[in-house]
Amino acid sequence: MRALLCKEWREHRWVLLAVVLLLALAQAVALNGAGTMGSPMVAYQKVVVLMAPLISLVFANRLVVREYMGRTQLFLETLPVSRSQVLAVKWLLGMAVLLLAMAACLGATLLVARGQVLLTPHYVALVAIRSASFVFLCYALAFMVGLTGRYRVVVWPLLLLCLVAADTTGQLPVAKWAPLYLVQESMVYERGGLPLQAVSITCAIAAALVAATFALALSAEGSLVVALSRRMRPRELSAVTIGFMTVLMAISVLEARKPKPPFELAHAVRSTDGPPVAVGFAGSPGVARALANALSSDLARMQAFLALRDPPALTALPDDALDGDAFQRAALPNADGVVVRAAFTSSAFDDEGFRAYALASWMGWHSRGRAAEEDRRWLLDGAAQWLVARDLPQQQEKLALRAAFAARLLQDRPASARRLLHEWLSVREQLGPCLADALAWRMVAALAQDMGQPRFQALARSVLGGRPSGDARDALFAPDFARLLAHSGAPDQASLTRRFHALFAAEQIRLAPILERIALPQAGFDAQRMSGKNFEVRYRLGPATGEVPPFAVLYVALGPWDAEIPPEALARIDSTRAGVLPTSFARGTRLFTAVERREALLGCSVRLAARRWEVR
Amino acid sequence: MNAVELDSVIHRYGKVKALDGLSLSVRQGEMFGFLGRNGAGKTTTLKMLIGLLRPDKGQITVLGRSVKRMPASLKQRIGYVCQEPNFYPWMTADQLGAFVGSFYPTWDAPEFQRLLRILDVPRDRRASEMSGGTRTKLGLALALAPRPELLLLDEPTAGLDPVARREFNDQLQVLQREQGTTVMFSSHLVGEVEQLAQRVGIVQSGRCRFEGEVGALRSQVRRIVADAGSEPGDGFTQLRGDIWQAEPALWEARAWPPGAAVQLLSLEDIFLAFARTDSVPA
Repeated sequence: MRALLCKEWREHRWVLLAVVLLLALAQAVALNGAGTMGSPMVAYQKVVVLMAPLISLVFANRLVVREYMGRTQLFLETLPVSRSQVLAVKWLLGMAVLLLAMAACLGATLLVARGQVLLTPHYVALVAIRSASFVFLCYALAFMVGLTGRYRVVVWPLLLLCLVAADTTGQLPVAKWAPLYLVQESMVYERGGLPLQAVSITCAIAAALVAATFALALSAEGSLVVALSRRMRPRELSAVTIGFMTVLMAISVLEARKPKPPFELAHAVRSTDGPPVAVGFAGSPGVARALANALSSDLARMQAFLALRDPPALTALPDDALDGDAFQRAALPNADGVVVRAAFTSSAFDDEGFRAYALASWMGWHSRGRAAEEDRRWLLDGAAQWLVARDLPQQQEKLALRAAFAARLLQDRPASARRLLHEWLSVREQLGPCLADALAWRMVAALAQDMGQPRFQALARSVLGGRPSGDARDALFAPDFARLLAHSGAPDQASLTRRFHALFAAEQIRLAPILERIALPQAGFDAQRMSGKNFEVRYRLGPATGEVPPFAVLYVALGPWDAEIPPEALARIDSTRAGVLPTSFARGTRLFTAVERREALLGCSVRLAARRWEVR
Repeated sequence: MNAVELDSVIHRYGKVKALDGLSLSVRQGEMFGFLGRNGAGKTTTLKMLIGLLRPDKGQITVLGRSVKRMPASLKQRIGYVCQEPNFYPWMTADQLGAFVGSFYPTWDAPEFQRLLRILDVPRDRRASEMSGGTRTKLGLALALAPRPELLLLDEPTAGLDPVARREFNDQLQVLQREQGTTVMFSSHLVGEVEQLAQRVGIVQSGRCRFEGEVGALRSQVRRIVADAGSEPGDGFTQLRGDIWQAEPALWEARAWPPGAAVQLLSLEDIFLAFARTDSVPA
């Protein structure tokens, strides 16, 4: 036994010591950041959770996999020593080094925690037993899996996948399972007593794994493990890869189909009747209640107009950091529903604009994003505005003015104007959400008038009302927008574009006296080399020097695949004079830049000089 | 007393029967050659004798002890050299000697050093840096240093060039004479067996087809060149074509067909006759 122990130590000492050093480093880093964690004991808990499985894996790989894959165990077996002795020495050496290293970590933590945490022998024993049980299980599992030889590369990902799937897809309380419960953060704070059941279960599983390890190693005179430790053949490798990808895809599909719990807002005012709407409490509850009821009423009208079933809950959150006419939709990775944000309490809050934004977001959810595809997005944006403003002549007049101004801005970009319906996202990016929504309203209102109520309703239902199943095949066989237009008796897209441009021209003539009062100052961006390949970007609105009315500069560095830029991705600088962006850019960086100025006559922000360009 | 006795031993690898009722014995102090084609069951037999495998059926006795589970005390009396020794690549010959020696109470460290010198194995070179032949010679030194009563060699010269093979065999003969060890070695090289072995066993499809002295084998198997249709009488067994096996007395009594010519055969011809026989007699 001693000779075996010496041999193992001589063979693996540098790796074992390197891993222990890595553990010490991780512990030191964790202790250094203990201030932000609340307690040095939390740092120890984090190290146990992260490092015990990792080190177990390395030790098992070194002590078992290397011996069998290198086939040196065949040499050992010819010596007068039993297989069980060989295995026991390996197991005990790895376990001893791992436990010693963890004990050293605990000791170092206790030294640091003196004076900060009440350290009684009872408490230290609790922490030590809990972490030692977890380490015991990790090592037993790693050793057992190590004996599966070439299949360990399958077993480990499968175990991990099962754990993740149980947690996410299965919604099982994985964190409360005995081994994981032992090393939860509560380990640091629970001083009452040992969770005997969790410790017993963990140790029992570990003991079972040890027994299984020896059974596997000794079965069929060790030939089973020898067979498992042969290198994987290409056919096996292909089968494993395909199997793994299949499992991964199956879990992804299950995950996508799994119903998520609805988003719940604790402190909110809810609509009294109609579709469920919750509005976060901001300032007066009266404002929130009025907004909730108005949103619910809008949703009810849209539901009836589009014949929608099973509408999701809509939640509106207050966000004072936003402008009055800026709205955002929150991403909900773990919940279902539509959550939108706006500055309800701002004096410049655009109530109707927000309600239309909420409707559009709601329709986007309902159509699983289909209604927001570029060729039909104008219909989505416009229909939402149209539904809200249908019985509000003042709002219609406001939108008409904005639309006429937007059309005037578009005249400077004839290419975009020509492809108005096909490149709606580019138009929207250039005009900004406020003017683009108004332009879309103008187009939808005209279309509704031209087609008549029943035909327009049929078109809206076919484009916006359907709820796809989420299956990718649906997208393949879904009719395109042109066919939907034709099917509902609407003009084709070219005719529509001509019709809309004629309308825009007429509207500009009708509203010319007001439009002429809106100034269009020159705005621009240019890049200037600072040093080497670094550039600074200058912006200006109006004259190059001197103060101008407040404006906002929006910018973002684009990736290679960026399509629509979400509003929250845009960096913003508020200014009253020409200046320089606070970031330097390397040559070749692709940027989106724009200047926004609030125009009192329009009641919304006007976006100028919006473009995508490359720094050079 | 025989050093090794196998009685009707059967061993399967899954559905494949590697040994199918193998019976043979190796006398103490002799050098026994174990001949057979690839896959005949030679390695399986030797692995059973060192305790790496257990028989499914049958009886094995090694150095007077029945072997069901090979105890360490018995293993300490046996030396084993396999075809491709899987030494730890990072160990030198000296380190391997120290490691292996700690398992044998009879380990003779000076003898190990002497063997390394005789076999021309560099002491301080790592196993990973040694040639295949040097590793095999190191395996022989490691197997002989504890002065085993039984030495099992599994095709030790399979990977050696002719010069190294001759050198190895010469040294083996000398060492066997010096130590009086019983040696059982497997090979498919007939010339080697003829040179080294006092007795041979020919194994085919997991069964022993012949066991005895090389001279006896040659006196039992001969070629009979006769007219078509004329065959020898009772007591003669046809091995293959015109090669027949019979007791020496029958050959001496010239009990073959009149007019036929009888030729003596080399051991290689005899081995080929056994090895190429498709059906194994019951």
